[in-house]
Amino acid sequence: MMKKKQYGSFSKVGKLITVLQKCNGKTAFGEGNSLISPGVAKLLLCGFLLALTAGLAAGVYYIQPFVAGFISAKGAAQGLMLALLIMTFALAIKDIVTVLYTANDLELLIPLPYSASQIVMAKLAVVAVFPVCLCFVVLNGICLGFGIREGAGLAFYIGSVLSSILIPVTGIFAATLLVVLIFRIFGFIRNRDITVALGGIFTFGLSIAYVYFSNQLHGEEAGKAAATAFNAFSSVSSVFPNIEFMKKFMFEGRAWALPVSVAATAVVVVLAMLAVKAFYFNSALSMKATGSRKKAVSEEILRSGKKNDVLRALTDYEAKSTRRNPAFLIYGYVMSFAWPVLFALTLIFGNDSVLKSMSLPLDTVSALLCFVTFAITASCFACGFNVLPGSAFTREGSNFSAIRALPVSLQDYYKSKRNYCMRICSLGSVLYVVVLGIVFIVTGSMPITGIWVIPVGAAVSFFLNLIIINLLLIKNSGKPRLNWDSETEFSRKLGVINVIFMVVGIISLGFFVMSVTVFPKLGIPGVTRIIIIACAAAVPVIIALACAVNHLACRKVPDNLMKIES
Amino acid sequence: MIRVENFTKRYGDHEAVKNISFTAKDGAITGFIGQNGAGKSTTIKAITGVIRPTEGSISINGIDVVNDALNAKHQFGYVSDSPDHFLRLTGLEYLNFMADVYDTPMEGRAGFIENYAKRFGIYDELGSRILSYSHGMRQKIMIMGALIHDPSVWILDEPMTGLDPQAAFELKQMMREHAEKGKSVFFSTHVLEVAEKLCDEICIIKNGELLFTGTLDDLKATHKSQVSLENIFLELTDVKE
Repeated sequence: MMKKKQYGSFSKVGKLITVLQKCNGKTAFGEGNSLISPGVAKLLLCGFLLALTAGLAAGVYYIQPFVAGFISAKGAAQGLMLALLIMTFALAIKDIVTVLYTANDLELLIPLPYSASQIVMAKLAVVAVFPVCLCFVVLNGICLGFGIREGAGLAFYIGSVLSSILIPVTGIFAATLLVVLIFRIFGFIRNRDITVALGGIFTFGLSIAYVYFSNQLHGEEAGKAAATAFNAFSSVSSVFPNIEFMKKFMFEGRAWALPVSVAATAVVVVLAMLAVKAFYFNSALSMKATGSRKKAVSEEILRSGKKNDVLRALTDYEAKSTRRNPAFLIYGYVMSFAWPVLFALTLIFGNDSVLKSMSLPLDTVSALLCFVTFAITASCFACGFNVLPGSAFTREGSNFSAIRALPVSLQDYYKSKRNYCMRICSLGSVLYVVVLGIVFIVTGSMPITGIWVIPVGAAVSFFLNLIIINLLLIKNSGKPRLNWDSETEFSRKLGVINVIFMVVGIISLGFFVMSVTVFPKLGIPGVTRIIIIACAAAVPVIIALACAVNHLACRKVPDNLMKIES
Repeated sequence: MIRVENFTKRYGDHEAVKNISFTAKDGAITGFIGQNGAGKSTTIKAITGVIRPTEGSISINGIDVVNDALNAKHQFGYVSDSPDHFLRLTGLEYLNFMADVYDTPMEGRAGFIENYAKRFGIYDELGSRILSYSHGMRQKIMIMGALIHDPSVWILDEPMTGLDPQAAFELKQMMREHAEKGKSVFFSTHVLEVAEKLCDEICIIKNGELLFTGTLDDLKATHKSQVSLENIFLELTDVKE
């Protein structure tokens, strides 16, 4: 009779982890059919990680004398911990969504002889393998190198080893808490949508960080600049109690700080597990593979709708399709509204701050130039950064043929796209012109008699939006790629027209800056006259051009669409 | 009624559909049968105005689909072979969108939606986005969207795909009721048993050519050696040895 092998609880969970690793596309070490035994494979892995850590430590030991003037062991440890925490958090989100929600295996796992917490821990262990290994190698390797060079005490090494485990654990459980709460509140979100949203937020954050740091470091030599930037980044770690208290333990000899740091991590773990206990199983099990929670409609909602004409119906459809798609939410909305942040940081925080050089209050001529150039800048950026008009028909995909079969005139279809893009881009341009005007009036930066420049600027912005959006719609209608492979890929693509207008926007921004700094001081009559004529001419030219382009688009876009056979 | 006369569709040198003519009459269910790549979807796309005929003419209730496309499109409700459309809208939003596009009055909309949603068993999902629906649920909501304006002509491309038995039965009932009111149903299918039980008239297409158009009795009369539509079809399309 075959001897029945008894598995302890720990090895039972270990086997579940191995299975889940394979099911989630991760490499599972120590498979049964490998050339070497599972135990040896795991030992070899540990040996490899230790060798890698030692190699990294040796490298840091060698480099340390060259960077000693810029970065200390303390700064390196702090900065690394923060960087690894952010990295594990961001990377874990997508993996946690996969293992907890889209793996769709709960209905198979729950009937097995595992407790709910064992199932969840096994799933999270799948996610944790790579981040823990990475943090172990990187943090210990670098800290070891610095520590040996600087003659660090035992507390430093203990803190480093503990942190290499606690940091990824904190990141993963913080991500788990966030994901469980988001899915509880919003329902199912596709992995792809999360990737896009994270990518957009990350890119935006990086851009702001770049602008900020490059202005701060203006004039410093490269090495010192890098060190200053790194130290500035490291200082942010004091916000995180686990890192802050670990730092106290490692560098200030405060033994009590270690359990506090561990407790801070434990708090995150406990909160995450409470959230999982409260929300995870109910929400995950109620989802179908493609599903979110069912939402019924009441009699009241069913009967309370109002009838729309075709154009309004199409515009509403366009609005819902775009704002409910995270890819377009980031690249079609956020960028149109957030563009001033990128430039405000440069203008306000730069070493030669524009704020310091402004000649206020502005006279009427300068105010006119200021508002016309700002309007051009705003429109160019709000439309240039916005991917919606340039992908208006491409992102219909298979819906295009469905819409072609409906009694919808292609003119109305084009107008719905144009109207909606105008709405979004105008909020990111015309609105800003008006806000700037109100701020100038309220702060006395412009006389009240100059208030007429605000509607002039708003009109310039509006009609320039019409030109840019129509050009983008004409271009996209000529050759929309309806069978796209990657929605996220084309949602980030800005075309040639976008780039051209962004360049125009940058040039106009230069004129805007000059209008509030240099021109008011010039006082040369000839220049003043030229400015008045240029601005006075620009407005009707832009309006006439907008009407012409709009008329062209009204004919050309439907003609282009008619030729498409999907 | 759908009238297709000498319809040809060419893509460059390739002739996808070659000079076919048939009529889907009022008061009848017409089945459109063919192998994959035979030209069924091309023909249906041309009827629904998604593509333009290279030659020939297509009219629905006497209205030309090319020259008077908007009016022609008001005459029919179309369910495509893929239900993966308008995924970001909720079921209710999609139905209201379709009703608005077809200029359907508000009176009766709520009643239609409630009635058909309960018949198809998706009433409790109307508030959820179509993205969250299973394939069958998407098919059902697309069917509802196509019929919300009570068109006289139904054009359905593989409508049974993905439907559960109850929903498939409901749809067949609806198709029969619609034809009995003197209206027209035109649908393509791979399921020959359904076509045999349901259709009054059959059109068989192969490699872009129409092999047969007429009633099922006429078809069986010309192929007395074969008992079932399946055998007749396989013989006509030279698949069966």
